[in-house]
Amino acid sequence: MIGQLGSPLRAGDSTAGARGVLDDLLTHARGADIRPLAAWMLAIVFYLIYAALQPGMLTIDSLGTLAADGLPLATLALGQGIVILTAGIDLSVGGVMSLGTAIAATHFHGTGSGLAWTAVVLLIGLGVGAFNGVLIGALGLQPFIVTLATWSIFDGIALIVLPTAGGHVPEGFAGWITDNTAGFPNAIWALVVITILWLWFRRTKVARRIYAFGSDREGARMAGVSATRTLLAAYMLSGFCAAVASLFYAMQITGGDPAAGDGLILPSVAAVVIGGTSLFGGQGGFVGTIAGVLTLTTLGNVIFAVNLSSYWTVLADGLLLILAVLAGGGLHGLQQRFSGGRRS
Amino acid sequence: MNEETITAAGADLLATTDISKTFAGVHALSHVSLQVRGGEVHALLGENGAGKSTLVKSVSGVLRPDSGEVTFKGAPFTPSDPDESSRRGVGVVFQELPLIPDLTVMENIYFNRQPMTPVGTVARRRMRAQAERLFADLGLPGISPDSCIRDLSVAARQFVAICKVLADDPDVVILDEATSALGPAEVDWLLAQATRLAGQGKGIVFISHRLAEVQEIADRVTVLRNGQLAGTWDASEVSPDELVSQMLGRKLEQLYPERAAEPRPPVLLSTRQLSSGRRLREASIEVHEGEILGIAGLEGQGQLELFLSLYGMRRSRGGITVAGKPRRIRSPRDALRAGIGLALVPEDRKGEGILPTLSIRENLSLPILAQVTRFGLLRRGVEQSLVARVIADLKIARGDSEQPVSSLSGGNQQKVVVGKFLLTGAKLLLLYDLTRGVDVGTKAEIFRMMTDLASQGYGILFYSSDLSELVNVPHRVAVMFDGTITDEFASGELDQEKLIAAMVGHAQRPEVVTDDRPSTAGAGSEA
Repeated sequence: MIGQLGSPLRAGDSTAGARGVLDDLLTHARGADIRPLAAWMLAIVFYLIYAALQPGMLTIDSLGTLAADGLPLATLALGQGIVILTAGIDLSVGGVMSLGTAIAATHFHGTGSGLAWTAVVLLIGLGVGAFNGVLIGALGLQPFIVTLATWSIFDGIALIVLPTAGGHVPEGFAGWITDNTAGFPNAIWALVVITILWLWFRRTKVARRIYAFGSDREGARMAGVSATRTLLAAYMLSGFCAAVASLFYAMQITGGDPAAGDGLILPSVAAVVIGGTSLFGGQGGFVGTIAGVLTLTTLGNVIFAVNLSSYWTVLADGLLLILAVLAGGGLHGLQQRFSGGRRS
Repeated sequence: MNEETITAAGADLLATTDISKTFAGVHALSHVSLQVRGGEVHALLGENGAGKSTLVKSVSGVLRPDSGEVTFKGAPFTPSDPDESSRRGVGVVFQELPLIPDLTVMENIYFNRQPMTPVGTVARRRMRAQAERLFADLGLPGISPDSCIRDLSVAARQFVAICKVLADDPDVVILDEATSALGPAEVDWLLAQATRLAGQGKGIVFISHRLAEVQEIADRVTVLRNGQLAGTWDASEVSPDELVSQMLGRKLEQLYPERAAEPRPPVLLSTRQLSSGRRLREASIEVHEGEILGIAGLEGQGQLELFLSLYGMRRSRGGITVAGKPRRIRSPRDALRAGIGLALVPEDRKGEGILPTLSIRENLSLPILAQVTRFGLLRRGVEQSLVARVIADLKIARGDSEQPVSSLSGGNQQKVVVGKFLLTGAKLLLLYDLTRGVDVGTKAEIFRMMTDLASQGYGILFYSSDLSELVNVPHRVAVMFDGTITDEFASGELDQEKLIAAMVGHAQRPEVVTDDRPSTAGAGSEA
């Protein structure tokens, strides 16, 4: 299909890999969007406050604990962020999280059943995402309403599987998140792997279509981007991420909780927004989102360190989200002004 | 209308003195002085970005100028918003129509001045009577005060926006590109109104890219260039050519390039009795290789539906044959596969087919991602070189393809919209009103691109709401009326009068405003 432009142009290919990364960095240096950078600065400030309050925080082990604390949210926010890039939102991650922990706490009895039921949980995540994606992409329903409904449906199923918080997961399973591999905590490895997966994903055509769709859906459609396929991919990825996150969360609490996901919906959106992804779609990414996760996780730890009840964390998350939205808008406005919007 | 507000004709009603406005260190306006007299139509010209809209906004309270003074009837004039400006006597019809889609026509017109009953509810009957009287005064029979804005065509919305301003009976009326959404008959109405209001002693500021309109009604002309005053002249003293060179700061060699080389015999596109919905009925056209076929039509004669059907954005019946092969086109993807590309500027000019947050490279390569992917990853090098080729071919201004596409000028953005189809291997380009609201310099660039592409063998279907473009650019023009092709002219036998006569059909003049029709804006989002 490239036709007349195709063959003579293959020469540039060999330099692609290394230069691609450099190009990315340069593009950022030229100031495409400063919000993710601002998010990282915020995260580092929070971490330094925390380290000042709790001496000895700069060891590998305590970083590992922090990573384990943040891992479920990071995984969840990866998927949520992909949906938000399409200018949508996925509330159903709450239901998937709840059901995932409930299944882990009731059906994981050993390696064999653990692996089998892990596959089931992951398939449920993909299935919920596909359901959302079809209703939103093919039938054009509102993401908020569709995922609000699926959230409730799967919370309900979670309650049927496990009526109250409890149950337990096998020790070998729960222990993985606090174990070390090659001298580094597994939770840190997991974060590294997730980030690499994101960087790979960012360079696929699906990702490009998701960004394009979020930037202007009609324009994307005219360029041959299918709304159905793009949204289906985004919501399935989000459902899958939520399923993985539920397993990490079950490791953390060493059991199940049919309401586990409900409290994580807001943080998953907050991490994405604090990380500089635009709720209007088309701008942002996981690199900023990790900073958002780190900020929210250390905030929880700071509140614990100053002996406030954990209820304050919930309140603080909400406040931080509003501040992030305000600051995000402000930063964006400043940037627009100084990058010379010449409008007549 | 209101006789006591008349100021002695010839005196300055509205004056700006040394107005300057800077955005991020860029001078949008620099020491601009403009005087609008009572009883005159004062045209304000300039390329996109010359500062016309900034000047209008500075006068009406949308923006606060950094320095300089605005006086109205001799007193300082500093309204805090356009509503106050309008109440105090300077009304502006803005380019972006500030109407509320879910309210009715009359609710929009009297939005800040709704007549009230003693118990504090809106006196709807009185409001309706007021609106009907206003429409009668203005000679507008077609609009119902109770229609929802959402259900109106873009042209009808433009009328409502104009009525909203005239309802305040301002002494100065500023029309910022008010004709760009209107068809020929509607433009005539507006020009007549402007002349009539000027005759009542009001000052009219008329902003338009169409020099013919300016020639027709303006008493004086002011040209802005790069935020500075290029000059003010009596309209009778300057020729259109002089105005154009004043706007550009140089002589424009030619607005319209030499017509592209003669089309080649093979037929690239033919449609057989193509129909879609109620608006497109059995339209049959043929486009040859290397041919530019113009489509002429008043608003809503099926031309939008024709373009959207050919690009798979509307369901259609009838045959479409591309390069000899019958094609079934049900989505933009099908159209791309068949070798068709569409560049469409929606009538409300919102979203012009670019993806604003993506880079120039990402915009250009979007339809061909599958071809630059290997092992699941996009190959940046291949992508880059393909894109570089298009940028060079179409002379897209910026060398740096990593910049956001929104940093480009309007003309270059439209080249990006067209350029992506050169990568898909499209041989047929559908260009829908690509030049709407675009300045002359950019227009010249777009026409040159079109004739270059046609000479290379591309077939182009070109709709424009500007008749002089249709007379001067295509090889042939097909006229659409009431959903089908009713006439056809070769370039040699074309002139604007013939074209208009064909466009209004043979029977009678169409109604000025057609009401209660589904909006055709937004790139057929409901299709």
